[in-house]
Amino acid sequence: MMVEAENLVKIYKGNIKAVDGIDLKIGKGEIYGFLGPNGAGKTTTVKILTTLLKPTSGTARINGMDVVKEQERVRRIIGLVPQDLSVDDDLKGIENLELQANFYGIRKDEARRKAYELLELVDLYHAKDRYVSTYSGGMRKRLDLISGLIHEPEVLFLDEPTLGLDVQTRTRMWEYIERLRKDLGITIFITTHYLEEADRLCDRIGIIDRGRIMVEGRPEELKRSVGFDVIYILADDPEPLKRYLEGAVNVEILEDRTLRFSIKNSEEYIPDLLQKIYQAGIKVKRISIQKPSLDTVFLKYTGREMREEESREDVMRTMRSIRRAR
Amino acid sequence: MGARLSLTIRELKKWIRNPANLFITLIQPIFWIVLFGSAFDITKIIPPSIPGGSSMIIGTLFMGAKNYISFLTPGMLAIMALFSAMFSGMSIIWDRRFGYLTRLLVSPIPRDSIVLSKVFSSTIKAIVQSTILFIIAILIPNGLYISSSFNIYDLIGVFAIISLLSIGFSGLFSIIVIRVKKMETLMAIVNLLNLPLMFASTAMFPSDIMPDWLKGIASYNPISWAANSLRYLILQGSWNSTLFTDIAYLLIFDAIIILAVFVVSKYGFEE
Repeated sequence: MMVEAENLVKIYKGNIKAVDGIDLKIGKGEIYGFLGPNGAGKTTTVKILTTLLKPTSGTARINGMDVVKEQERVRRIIGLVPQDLSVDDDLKGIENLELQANFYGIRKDEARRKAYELLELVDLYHAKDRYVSTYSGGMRKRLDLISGLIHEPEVLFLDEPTLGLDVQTRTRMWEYIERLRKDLGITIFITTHYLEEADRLCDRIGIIDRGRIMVEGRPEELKRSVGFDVIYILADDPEPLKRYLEGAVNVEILEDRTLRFSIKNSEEYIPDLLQKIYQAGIKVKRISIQKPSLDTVFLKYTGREMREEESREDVMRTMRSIRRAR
Repeated sequence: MGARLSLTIRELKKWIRNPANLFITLIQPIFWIVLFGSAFDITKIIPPSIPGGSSMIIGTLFMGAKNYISFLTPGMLAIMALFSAMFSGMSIIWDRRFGYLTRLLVSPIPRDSIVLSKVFSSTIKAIVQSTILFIIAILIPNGLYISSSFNIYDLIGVFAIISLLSIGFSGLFSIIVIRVKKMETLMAIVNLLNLPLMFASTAMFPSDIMPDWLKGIASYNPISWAANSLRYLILQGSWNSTLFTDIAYLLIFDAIIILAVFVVSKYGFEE
């Protein structure tokens, strides 16, 4: 096992339980994703696994080495790309990488060769001699990504690798991460609150909420396990519709007068339901069916929608990180 | 030595690449010696009617200085090392704010290298700044009059004393800010320490004109040790026993601080 954790707990000052008994087993070469809303305990777990924080209780090992007792040895084989940018603006791109290589005792010529290789990998070679302060947000993030790779770590931790990036840049980041796995074959631990990201990149996903892993498995497996579809019905007055929802679960009226519920075999259920509704004389404006996705998985295991958690905090965090980078 | 050296080079690169910063840190002490040195020329307060002549009294009171700027300049050299040390403390907080500290903490470098690189770079900056200040003080009209016997050994002594003071204070400030997360907190700490360290020392005024209680405090202030030793070297060119005692105090101060740097940085850093 490359990453292992047993009953990991972290309680911050003021009795705030950020991580509440997490168990992990991640094999060599696997891409494992932590999917959950802000404040679910993702970053705290990553900080414990990367020796930045000590757990309150429980143990964690990277390739068999304890993250508390063998910090120094663990640090040699891990790479971290933190949530916030962590490259030095006042240095050139290549200088950042060479300095980073120096921390791991890599010889200068070797470091340069490796740096060029990585710069090519993320299409930054042309900008290597520019100061990082002249880089765009996406370029910085890419430099950040390869800074965590210069010493060829065995495990790479990516904490929200595409947070605050525009859609286009995000898709490119995914391509780079996929390329990393293909070319280098390293184990990758990703945290994200983008369902699409987890779905696309990860071999296995752990859905985390309030410091606990609610469910764990391959994306397809998880989607299959849900077994039902989510239906959204928009109506002027959705309240009386509730009466007709036999066998439906997670019934709820959302803010925009949309009725949401989950049901098995929606293809057969919907015509039946519509008939009843028409007979009762209720007008329906719009119906949409969502086939199982990680959205529905999240809903099933936490009883909440992921989107509801995409809060202002998120936007503010991104703004702050951009502002500081300037 | 690896990370300690490369991180020191990083600091120096950042310093040189920001000429505005270098200019400001230099211009400030020059303002001090020119403006403060002229406006607060306390040698003028002593009336010339004193028996034995004012020049003799000034000579004793001001450790052989021919004018106030000559007395003030060695003190300013010490103060400049203090300022440089404060900036080095500040840069640890910047590293934290810009996320760079995370990168350092997650790599297998010795924790002390994070602090020692600040200490080394701050010392080198202090040496460069003092050289420039020293030259300017000599060049300005009626400025610094150095002793006629001033030689290369005295100059090496001057650099050694400035280094000792710089190492001690930059180490001290780095330890203080090791867990400080906000710039505002550091500013408050710096302001709190800055004034007493400067004025409860012999950097600007001779201890003989201080009240007894202040004289007592000043005699335990590393800035006084440095300022006095610098005066012996620059103004008198004499390696006397008081000079050696002050240097010994500075060495002890540094030894304690360096030890503290190792211990505190090993256990004190946190994300």
